Amino acid sequence: MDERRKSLAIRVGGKAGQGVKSVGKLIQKYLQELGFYTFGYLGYPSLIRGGYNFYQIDFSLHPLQASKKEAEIYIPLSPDALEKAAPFLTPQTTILLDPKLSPPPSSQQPLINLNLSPLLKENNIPPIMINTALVGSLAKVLNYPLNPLEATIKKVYKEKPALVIKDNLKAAELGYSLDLQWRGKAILPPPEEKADLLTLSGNEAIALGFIAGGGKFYTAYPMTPSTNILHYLTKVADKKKIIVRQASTEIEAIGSALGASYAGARSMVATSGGGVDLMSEFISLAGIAEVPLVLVDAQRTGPGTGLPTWQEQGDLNLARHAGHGEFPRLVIAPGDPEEAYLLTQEALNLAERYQMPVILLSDKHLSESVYSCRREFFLKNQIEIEKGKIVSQIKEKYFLYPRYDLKQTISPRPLPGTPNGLHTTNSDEHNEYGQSIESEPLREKMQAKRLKKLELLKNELPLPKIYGPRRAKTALIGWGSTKGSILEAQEYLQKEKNKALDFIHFTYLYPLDYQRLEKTLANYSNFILIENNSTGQLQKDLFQMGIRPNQLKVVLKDDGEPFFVDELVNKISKALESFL
Amino acid sequence: MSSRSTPTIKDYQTNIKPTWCPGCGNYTINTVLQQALVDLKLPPEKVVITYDIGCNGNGADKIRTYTFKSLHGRSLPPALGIKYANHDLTVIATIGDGGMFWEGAAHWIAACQRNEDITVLVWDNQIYALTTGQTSPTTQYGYPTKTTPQGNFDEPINPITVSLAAGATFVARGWVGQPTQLKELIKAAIRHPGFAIVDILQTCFTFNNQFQFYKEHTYTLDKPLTDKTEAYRLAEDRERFALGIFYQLKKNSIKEKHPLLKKAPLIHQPLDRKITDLLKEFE
Repeated sequence: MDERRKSLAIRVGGKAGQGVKSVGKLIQKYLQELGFYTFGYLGYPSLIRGGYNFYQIDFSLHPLQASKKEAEIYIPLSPDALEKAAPFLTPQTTILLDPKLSPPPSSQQPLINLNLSPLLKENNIPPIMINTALVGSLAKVLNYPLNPLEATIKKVYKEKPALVIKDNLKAAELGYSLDLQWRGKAILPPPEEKADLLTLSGNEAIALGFIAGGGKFYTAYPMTPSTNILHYLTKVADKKKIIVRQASTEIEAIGSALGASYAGARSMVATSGGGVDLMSEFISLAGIAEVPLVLVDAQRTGPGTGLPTWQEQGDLNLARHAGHGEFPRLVIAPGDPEEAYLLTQEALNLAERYQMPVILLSDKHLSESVYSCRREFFLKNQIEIEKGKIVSQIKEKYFLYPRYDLKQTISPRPLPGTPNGLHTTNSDEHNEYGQSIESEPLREKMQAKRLKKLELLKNELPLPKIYGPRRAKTALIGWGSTKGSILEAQEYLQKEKNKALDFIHFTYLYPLDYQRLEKTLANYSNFILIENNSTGQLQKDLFQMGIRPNQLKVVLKDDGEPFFVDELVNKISKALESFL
Repeated sequence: MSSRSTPTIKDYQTNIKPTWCPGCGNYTINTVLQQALVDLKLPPEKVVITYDIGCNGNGADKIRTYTFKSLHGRSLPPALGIKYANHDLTVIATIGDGGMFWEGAAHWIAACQRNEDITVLVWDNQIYALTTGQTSPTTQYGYPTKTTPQGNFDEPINPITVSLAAGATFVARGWVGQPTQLKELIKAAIRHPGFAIVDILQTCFTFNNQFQFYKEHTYTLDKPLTDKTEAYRLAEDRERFALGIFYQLKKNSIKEKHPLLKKAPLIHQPLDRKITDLLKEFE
């Protein structure tokens, strides 16, 4: 295997409330401190205490954005954690365990049996810190230095009392002091030069995009997997002078966000698919009343309550169609936190410039996975605020202001409080001043004015990005969060199997300019559409872009988990064979 | 018409001829509201009124301020957002009984409980009028409607007691048959810092004409009540309807809850878009 591509995966599993997440985070931050690129994949049931949680960290010398299915090292933190993780372990997976937390496996897997409790007791370290000691032992097993772990502990526990930090440092040192070996040598030595990396989840990137994009009013009703945006923005609200408000219902959330946006505050609201269902009527209002709004749909497994804490890309059709009647909207699906950061800012601009709802599609995988991101990207990609046609001063006297002036596709929008700008913002069909009308030619004109925004958008929106040699016969197609897994699989197939593939990644999903896209797609003979759902929701659009059914294979996954790289490689290989 | 000169009733009138039935209480409410705003010397551009769907909603273009016609039952959510964005504005949510007490009841209860800084005027005609006469949450017991031809078999909801129980800090009841008093109630509600609700008893001449009933069954409270128990007791009376302020309490409103807003309205505060400091956490 290409040395540069080599990666390792460490999985930690245990009961909810046992600290799986904090152990995972500590390991990931440590690996980052060592200079590795990392990817953290978290799984948990919809429970507060007890159910099985896991945190897998893949790491490598090269950028990586997805998990392998099977881990090289597994750390069970509870008695049933071995059994629960079975599908994700191989006979070669090394089990790193402490008998205090989990009995040894009955299988023949390589085992590193620690016995940390007596050691902690001797040194008066609270038993709960066995988790940190385990990370110390892991560092030893991997043959990595201890110092960066100490630096990481100081960083991660920065806000904890001094004694807690001291005890954790000691625990790590004790774990590290054991005489441990794994496969003889450091299998993946840390890089000599470190990139300036950050670990960020998609939700945190969206929240940062909101702040960088001049967001002022954020409101949401808690719903997994969107809730971390609410938590993060609440934490920084005072510092960044924004209002963050937990709404009493999803309907109140979107209604109040529309009110704030109408009054001149850049507003955003986030939820998951079920919340979008509830918000649909207000999305439709935003369409006819031409009020800007950014709505984040962090998708999860549906329908109904589905699997509330698991992955699915099931809402593309919902995002494109939610809300009755016909009205313009924009749907954007970032593929990773860097794109999420940038596209959230774009979404805020486009919503105001086009005076329409913009739906930003995330999902459990993007929203909650922890990615290595380049700090530089975040610092360099703050885009200029474009407020569109907001009017805050009107010199002429108007009895009523022609807010919906038909002479312009996008008409000036006076903010309430502005003298001479009085008008009605109306969910009813209306005339130029916003006054309600009944069926008449004016209705046709107003509807045409609004729908024309889609044509303007089509001219402006960029085409999907193409990754790869650009001369391949077959193109992989995906949208949103599958980007990482597809890029990894594409690279593997290129380097290990000598299969050249291009990858067309859609971030702007509605409106689509079929004519322009047809030209792009005409360069390929075959296509493999990859979606993390049951039906492949972009399929019909591809036919509209001139793809014939015999040119297209669809690779789907709907078991609640994202595509693992190794699994996707196999699925793509099979699809490729079927074209022959 | 500029914000410097004192507004007159003319400044609040639009060029739209109302489509309400002759004798509808909405005429009175619309006019009284205009007069109240004139009395308060508020320039029209500093006032935002949100509307429900129904006969109330048809009022959105019958008054010359900034108006926002929302969805059925959803007059309150946009009003909340407008106030958060720019609390210098006078924000009034108007809504019908069906929208307030049924379709949008969650917003009603939450806004009372959280003492949201808006004024709510309920145009309470005890019937679904625009949809041609179905039972509403405040339709009186036994009254025949299109959906209860044998007479309404449910007791009406009590807007006053429920608002009190939910924690509203200003609760009043007015009647379109007493426009002068109604105007004073609306003014007091607008001046109240925090959540104020005025349940306005009105008449639907077409589907539920209770004018004579209210004429005979209403009386005016001598002065605003301050005792919640007394307020409950009087509000429970379904024979004689007290008009006036049932309860008023000054409590932390938007600026106390959000110190950020003490300095200036949200939209007038400078943006802090810098994220360099925030990125440290993710190292």
